[in-house]
Amino acid sequence: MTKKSDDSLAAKYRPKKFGEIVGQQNAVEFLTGLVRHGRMTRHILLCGSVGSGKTTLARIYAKALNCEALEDDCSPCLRCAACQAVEYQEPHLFSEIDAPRYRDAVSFRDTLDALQRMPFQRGERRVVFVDEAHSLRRLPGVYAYLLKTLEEAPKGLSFVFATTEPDELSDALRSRLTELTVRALSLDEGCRLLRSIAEREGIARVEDEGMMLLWRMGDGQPRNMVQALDQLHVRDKGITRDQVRDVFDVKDIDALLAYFVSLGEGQFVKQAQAFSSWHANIRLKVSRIQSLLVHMYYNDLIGHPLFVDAVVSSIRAEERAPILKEFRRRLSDEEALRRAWQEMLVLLPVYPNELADDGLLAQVILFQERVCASDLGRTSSIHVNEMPDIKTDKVPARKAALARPPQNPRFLSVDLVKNIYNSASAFTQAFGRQFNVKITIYHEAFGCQDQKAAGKNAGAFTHALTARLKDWYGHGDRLLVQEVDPKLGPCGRVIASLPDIAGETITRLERWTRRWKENLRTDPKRSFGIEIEPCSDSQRMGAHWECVRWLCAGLDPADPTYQRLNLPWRSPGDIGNGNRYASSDSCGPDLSKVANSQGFPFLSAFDDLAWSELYEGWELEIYDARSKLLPLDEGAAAAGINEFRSFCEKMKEQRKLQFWKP
Amino acid sequence: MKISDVEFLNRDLGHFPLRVIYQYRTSLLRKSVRDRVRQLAADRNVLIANANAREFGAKLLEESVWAELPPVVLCEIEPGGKLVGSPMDVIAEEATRAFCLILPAGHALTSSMSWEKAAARSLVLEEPMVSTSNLLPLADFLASWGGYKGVSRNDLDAAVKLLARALGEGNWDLCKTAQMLDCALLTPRAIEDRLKVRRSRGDVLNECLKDFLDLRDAVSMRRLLALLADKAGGRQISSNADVLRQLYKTTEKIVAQRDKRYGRRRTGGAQNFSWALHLMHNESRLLSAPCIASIERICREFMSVVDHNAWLSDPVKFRSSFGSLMFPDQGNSIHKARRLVIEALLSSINSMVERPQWADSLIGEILIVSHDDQSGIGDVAAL
Repeated sequence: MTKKSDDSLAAKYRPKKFGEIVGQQNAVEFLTGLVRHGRMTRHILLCGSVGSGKTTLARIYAKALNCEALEDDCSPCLRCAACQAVEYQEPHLFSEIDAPRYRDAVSFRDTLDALQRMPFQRGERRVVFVDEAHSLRRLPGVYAYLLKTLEEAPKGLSFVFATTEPDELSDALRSRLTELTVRALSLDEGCRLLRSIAEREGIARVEDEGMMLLWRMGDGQPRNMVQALDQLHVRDKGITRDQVRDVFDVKDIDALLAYFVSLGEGQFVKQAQAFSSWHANIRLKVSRIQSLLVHMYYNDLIGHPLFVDAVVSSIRAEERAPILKEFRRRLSDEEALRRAWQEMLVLLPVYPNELADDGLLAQVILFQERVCASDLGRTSSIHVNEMPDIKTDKVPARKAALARPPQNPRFLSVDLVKNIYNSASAFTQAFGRQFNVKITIYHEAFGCQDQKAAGKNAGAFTHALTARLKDWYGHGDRLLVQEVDPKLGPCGRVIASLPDIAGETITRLERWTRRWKENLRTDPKRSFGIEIEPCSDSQRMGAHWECVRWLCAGLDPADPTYQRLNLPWRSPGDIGNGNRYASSDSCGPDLSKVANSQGFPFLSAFDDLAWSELYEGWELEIYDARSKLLPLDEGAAAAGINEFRSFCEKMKEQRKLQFWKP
Repeated sequence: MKISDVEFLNRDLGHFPLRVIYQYRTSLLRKSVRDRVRQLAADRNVLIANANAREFGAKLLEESVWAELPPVVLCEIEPGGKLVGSPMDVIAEEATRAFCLILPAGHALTSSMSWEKAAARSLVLEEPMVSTSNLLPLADFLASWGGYKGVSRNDLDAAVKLLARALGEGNWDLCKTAQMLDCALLTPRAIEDRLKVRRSRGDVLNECLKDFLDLRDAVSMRRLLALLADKAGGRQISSNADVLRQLYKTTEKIVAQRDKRYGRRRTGGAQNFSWALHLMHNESRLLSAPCIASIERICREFMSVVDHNAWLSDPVKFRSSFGSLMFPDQGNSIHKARRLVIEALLSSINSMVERPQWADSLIGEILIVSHDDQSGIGDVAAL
């Protein structure tokens, strides 16, 4: 049999040895193992999509079984007579049977019978490769014939079947075959393959997004990907995203982006123009819109990278930025933007094939009307339970089942939040005081251009605040968390304890903050760089825990603890290596000295995952008992210690709490 | 005498009458057994007379005209094949003739009146099922039978250990055992990976889906989506059909409460049932729309159900879920997976001590749509 010459990249880079195959570790290990352990033959079923490399594997296996000079990795040498014979498909060593070509069972059986009858020379192994094996179902009785044939196959003969649809084969036949799945390449593997070919071909300009699109165009199948690359290569312009888009007609990205910008602007006419000038099938348009909505929601708005689709993933962050900019212009804050997006996510049909074009267009119009509405992001019409809620009565605490996710630098760690909760709880247990004011300081307003300067500014402010409060009220209690506000840059969030939140007290604090570093304020538009918000929740310790929840709102929503705490949502941003957290002595590690001096650590609802006890205000009872029974006078404390111990045990039992050991 | 086919091939049984009945399960060793019988006959200078199912009984009674000794009558019966006459009667009564009858395990002949007597006068070979108790000797045999060279005792012991873990308390037939032995010797990592229970975040679809069904919130939904997106990007899942198949499989486990890791947790609630119905309802949609965006929407829609018991109490809401059952089962893996989910729903309802109000209407709906279905679902539902 003569071989046709083929100059394509797919032919040029078709693997000829096991080591050249990208991915498919399992299949390669299995086949090389058979060769290594005595050139064993097995009946094999290779399952995989078109272009995944099934035929390539079968050919290499057939060569390796017969090769006279095997390489160390059991790959064939490609030079010996046996390798050449397989290359030229001499039927005593290797035959490729294209199953769909057979129109009747008899001719198929005759072919296989003839191949089996051929005599074996000493040590020869024969591979009969049946491609598209699922098409044999058309031929009556063939599966039964194959069952018998596999059972009776002479030693040294291996049947290798390849199929894209393994389910179409009979169960009995499949059970007789060792099934090897030839998987599509992962994104990483696909890019590695393409990059290596590009290097060998001397293609200098290679963009990741271009690779990603090629991977998508080839559906992760090596041959398809290389064929796609071939089409680019002839143009010799490198593998850029735009080049791939041009060649493969993925030209609607620009139109998609323009449409999204018009959505952000909230102008219906512009949206209609952008939609109608976008030359694509309406179903494709709706699919793309939905994919980009999902992509941006997870990747841009809530900071949880999610691979939705290669086409929308090839859109760069800087290309998406103008969209967000337009939306932010219309919406008051990040929370509103996030709510708006949640709403948009469920407005369009995600299954466009179910509707006629007219119906789909009507849905798009309704979508646009809603996006243009002035109350977008401000309604509570979405019944999707997007914000996590506490379901402590329904779901038992599952420490083991919910493993902790890796720390995302954009968010507060659960350890930090735990520390804040325990400190806030212990603070009240020890002193009976509560946090009741939230303060935010925006460092850029004080001329701080980087995180280091912001950290210094935060330190200076909190020290000054503590000193001021001590001076006024005898104690300066506060907790600080450093964040990056999406609009206003680095900021510090502080909660503090004031004796009350009467107008006069707050005014006094505001006056002081206005004067603090007055000469350094760079941007008069940004208020005074410091915002004060008193909390007046009348419930028992309600204001205290509202302050704490606000301070901890930057906990990673992916952490299972997030939903237990009923936190508001806020993205705290990545502050790099700076310190996230600081506290006054009265709320810091020294607090434990108070407890230790009395021989009793504090109780902690957080540590025991007693979520339903978290905001109940039992700390005040502890404080009452502590102050009544354990005065700091040592002699008096000795007398009350047993009573306090039994009180604590009772509280522990009642509320299922444990002691916090800082 | 009754022995296994492996013993027959592996041991010297001394001089015994060549009266062999072989009950095979998988045909793996059928050729080897036949070859061994031929070899024994040749050693004893006896001819082999092949007989088909129609001729077997008659040939056993034929007088030999060609040789001093009557030939060994060799007859092989394929699954579903029938013999003419009553050959077991002949074997039971005629003790002198040599034969080798190869028939599938559980063939009707083995329940005939004279089977016991015929078996007592023959060497009965059985193909064993493999469990951990007989795994070691069988693996030794299969390694040698399979042609392995250069496999050390240590390699083999390690492979057996691995197979024992994979086998657990179950059983494999010999064919499956041979295939698994190949994998254990050649690609042990693949089996290890399968056995490994990865408990870290997002590694287990079961865990993610179960959490989502329990919590029904954005966090658990994101974990589920991230897992599926990672799998799709890593090509562990290659198509929407693959996603659906895996979701069905996991849903079935959750509904049937077959996941031992959740054994100590509370039993499945109504949300598991409504999720299964929701998934079936969206089957065709999921197969035709962008994968991750579709699942995102399916999850959101599911989260919007506030009271799952109330949802299940209204058959109008879930009736469409069974629509696909109306169409002929094409036997592909998605249909199979869906059918298993429905069976899990039914058996879960049947095992309830106190049936909720919606249970009967759910069973009723399944009975209606499975009326003409040949899958046997109707039988389960009618229990």
